Amino acid sequence: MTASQIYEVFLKADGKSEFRHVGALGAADNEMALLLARECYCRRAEGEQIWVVRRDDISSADSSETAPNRNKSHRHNDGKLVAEHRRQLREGS
Amino acid sequence: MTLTSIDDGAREYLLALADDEHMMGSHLAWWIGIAPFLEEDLSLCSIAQDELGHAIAVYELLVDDVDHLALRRQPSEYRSCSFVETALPQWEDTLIRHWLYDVGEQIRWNALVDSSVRELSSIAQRALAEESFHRSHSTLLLRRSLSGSEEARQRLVSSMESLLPQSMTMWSPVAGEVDALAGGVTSLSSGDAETAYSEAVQADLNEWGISLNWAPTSAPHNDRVARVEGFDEFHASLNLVLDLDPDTEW
Repeated sequence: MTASQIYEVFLKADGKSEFRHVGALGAADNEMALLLARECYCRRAEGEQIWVVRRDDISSADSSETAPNRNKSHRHNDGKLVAEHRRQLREGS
Repeated sequence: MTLTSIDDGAREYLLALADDEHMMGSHLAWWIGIAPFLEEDLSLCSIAQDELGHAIAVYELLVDDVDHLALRRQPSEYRSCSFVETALPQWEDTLIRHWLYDVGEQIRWNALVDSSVRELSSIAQRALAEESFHRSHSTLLLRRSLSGSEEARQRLVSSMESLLPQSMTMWSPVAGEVDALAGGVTSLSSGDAETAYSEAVQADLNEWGISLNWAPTSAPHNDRVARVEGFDEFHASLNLVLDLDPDTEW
């Protein structure tokens, strides 16, 4: 038997909800992974659809690659600055 | 809901099916926490729950007090076959019995889909939906395991050689079968079921490239009234907690 590989498991509930990661499991192949995912993560019908993805097939970026995007408060615009600016313009006119 | 419309023969027939499910479910549940790997632990226990659920559904057609029927009978009053009564502490034996039993179970439930007992027909339809998963589980796992190391394959094949002849006791005719057939409760005699079973098992063996020196032998006729060695201990283990306080309301 192929050595057990780690799979990440995603479930999608009904409706418009997205697939969400729910955990991982070990399985010999894709078919077994789907079968075991059904029992390990969906035995109480927590999802309507299942994805399993071999962990080795996932491309990942660690914190050193995401670090440059820290402290960029201007990308967290909540609209307050713009609202304040418009209020001042209104009151000044 | 307890049925009053079925005769004693059909009751005996259904009791044999429910007792087989009960024994299988209970033996599979024994692996909780100790199956070889966690994913399989969960899957097997899920299947055990399904089998116990099937047993309960049929017991409920027969009596009001399901717990009493399931657990408090004398060993001689059970109608399970010896194949499902035996304790199998080796994982490969459990896997092989799981495969063989579910091949047979699918045939048995299929024969009840058009039952004259409407409630039984609906239980059969639900059971079959679950059985398709049980079959996938056992055959996928077996196929993968058989293609593993030579030792794994040898152990599995050796287990098949030992358990396959025993599995024929599933088709030991039960008293009442004639009545169950005549009343349309089931549509398949144990003889015809045995033939269908042998063909289905052989088809799986062919797919896996396994050649066994195995010829289907007729099931013994008195198997369901005798209990296997060790049954009393197993029965006692099922009653262990209940015996602590028999009057408890669960």
